[in-house]
Amino acid sequence: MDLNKRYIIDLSHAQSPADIVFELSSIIEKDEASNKKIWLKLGNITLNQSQLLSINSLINSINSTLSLIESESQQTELAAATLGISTKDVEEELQEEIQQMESESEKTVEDTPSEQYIPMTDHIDQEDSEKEQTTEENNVIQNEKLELSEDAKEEIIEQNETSEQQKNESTEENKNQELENTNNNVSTEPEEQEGNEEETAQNQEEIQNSLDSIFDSEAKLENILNEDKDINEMKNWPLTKEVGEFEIPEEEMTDEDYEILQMNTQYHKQTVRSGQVIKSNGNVVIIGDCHPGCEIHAAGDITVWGILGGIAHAGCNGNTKARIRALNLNAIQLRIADSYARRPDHIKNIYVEKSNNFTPEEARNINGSIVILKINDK
Amino acid sequence: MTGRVIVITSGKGGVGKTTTSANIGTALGKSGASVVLVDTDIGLRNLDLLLGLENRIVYTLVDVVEERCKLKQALVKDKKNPNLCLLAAAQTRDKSAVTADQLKEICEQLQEDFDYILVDCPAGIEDGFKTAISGASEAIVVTTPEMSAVRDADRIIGLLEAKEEIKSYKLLVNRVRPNMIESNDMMSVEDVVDILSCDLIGIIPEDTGIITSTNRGEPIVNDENSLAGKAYMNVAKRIQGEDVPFLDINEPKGFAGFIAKIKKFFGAKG
Repeated sequence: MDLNKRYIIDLSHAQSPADIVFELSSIIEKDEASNKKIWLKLGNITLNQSQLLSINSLINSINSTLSLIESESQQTELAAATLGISTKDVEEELQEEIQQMESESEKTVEDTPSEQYIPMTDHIDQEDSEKEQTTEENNVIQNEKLELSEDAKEEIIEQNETSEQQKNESTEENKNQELENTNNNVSTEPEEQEGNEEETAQNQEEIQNSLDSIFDSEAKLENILNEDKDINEMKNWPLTKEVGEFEIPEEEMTDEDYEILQMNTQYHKQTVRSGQVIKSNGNVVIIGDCHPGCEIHAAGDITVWGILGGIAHAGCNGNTKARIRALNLNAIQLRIADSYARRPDHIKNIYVEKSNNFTPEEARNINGSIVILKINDK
Repeated sequence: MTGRVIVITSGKGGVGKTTTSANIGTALGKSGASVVLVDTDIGLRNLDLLLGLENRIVYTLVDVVEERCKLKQALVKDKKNPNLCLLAAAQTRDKSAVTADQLKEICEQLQEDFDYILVDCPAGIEDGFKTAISGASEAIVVTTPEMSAVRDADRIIGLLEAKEEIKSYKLLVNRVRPNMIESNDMMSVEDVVDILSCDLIGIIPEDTGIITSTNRGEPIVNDENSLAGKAYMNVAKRIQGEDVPFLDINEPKGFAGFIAKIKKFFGAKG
């Protein structure tokens, strides 16, 4: 069996026949799917013979053949069998072949480098026998991993709830980690861990250097993150651990705090719209929403009785004890003194849905990183 | 290295200048060229939103002009493509914050580091427009097959011709609907080219994907299946000097039509 010519398409998540064809038509437009034996993995969908024939002719049109279908639906398997298409389990079939492969070429398998990455897509394309070995492990444990990762996610959420900070944006990395945590339900892919931790550690150092280098190192970090990590592995990343360990220091009143208390306070009873700027040498209180595109600069605290959507810069003269409070913190950027945090990229909604259920939030500058705390039980 | 400064303008608003800038910039960046997008629509900036970079902007064009930061500090790198940078406009100021000479100087500085400088022009023919075209040597005039947009484009081409520095200008017809042209409800691309007597650089079909891509902050050229995305890719290739035939935006025939039919059979949308 020529392994190079196998192409597995996993469509088990598809909800309807239309989904399948839509996915298929986008996959087969890629060159890599042509001249291959295509294995199709379907979920619990019933397809009749004529629909299968259409899929078959679709695949034939790129010089590939549909050689195997795995389906949870018996009717589909029956229809496939009558069309002469094999209906075995993809994973079992894979294992059999891999065992054959191993017996044929044990030496090449032993030489497999430990840092072999496999790009995660809905379909797994095996191109050489070296990748074969890692894929074998993946396929066998993938289902378990999926369950595990869901558990792990719940754990993280629980940790967050029990700890004082539910929404930890203490550092740039943390935000990225969060981002990745939420992304992980999209797809998971087990990988070797050793290489990554080193890279992460390197990135960590880079990020802390300066604002300029933030963008560069982030790009690198995101490149790594884009390779869709397994959530179990994510737990081993140094900063995700910190989510539970991070402690907010008991703060004593310092001179800087008293300075803020003595500042004048401006009141604005208005909606601050895009393009409007509010500047103050003291504290600012806004009764109303601040729309995306506005800017608020204050030497002291910024308090918004509404949704904060724009850019807020508290302590703009260098007071690190300044804080930003809002009924809903949805700011594009938060700046306190010299520190800067930006909204995670996965939050797409610029405008927050208005409702009466708000949890007030407060952003502080703790040791140079901006931390957002929910003010419900304090 | 001397980069090419290309201004993307239209006269009329809402024809797709910003979308075009974002997509051509991304497409050029994908091909390996180093690209910087300059948003000159000060006070009504949107280019950052289309690229999904609005949360990373710290310094803007106005900050550079007023020397609060260096030019390199104000360049925001794209999330995916390190070749692509954005020089955002300030949201809290207006067009008078930057003069023509200042922008020209910035463009000259950028020319040293980048292959392509794409200037996104504001609507209108007032100071904002004059500022935007000041540094450019080439122009892309965006229009739609509507009488009002074509008339405004004609006015713009007149103004561009009057400016010596602009060596060449090309026409890009956006939001074309083939089935409306077929039923004679819309001017055809040929009609538009005839009226304006100007070289064509691209035809972009109307695509609902543009709206979702704008909302998501991801240019449509990243979507390989989108027709509009392919059309923008071709425009980028033509800018780079490749001779690419115009995309057939009519009803899909042949293999694509075959797929479309099967999709119909299963009741898929789009």
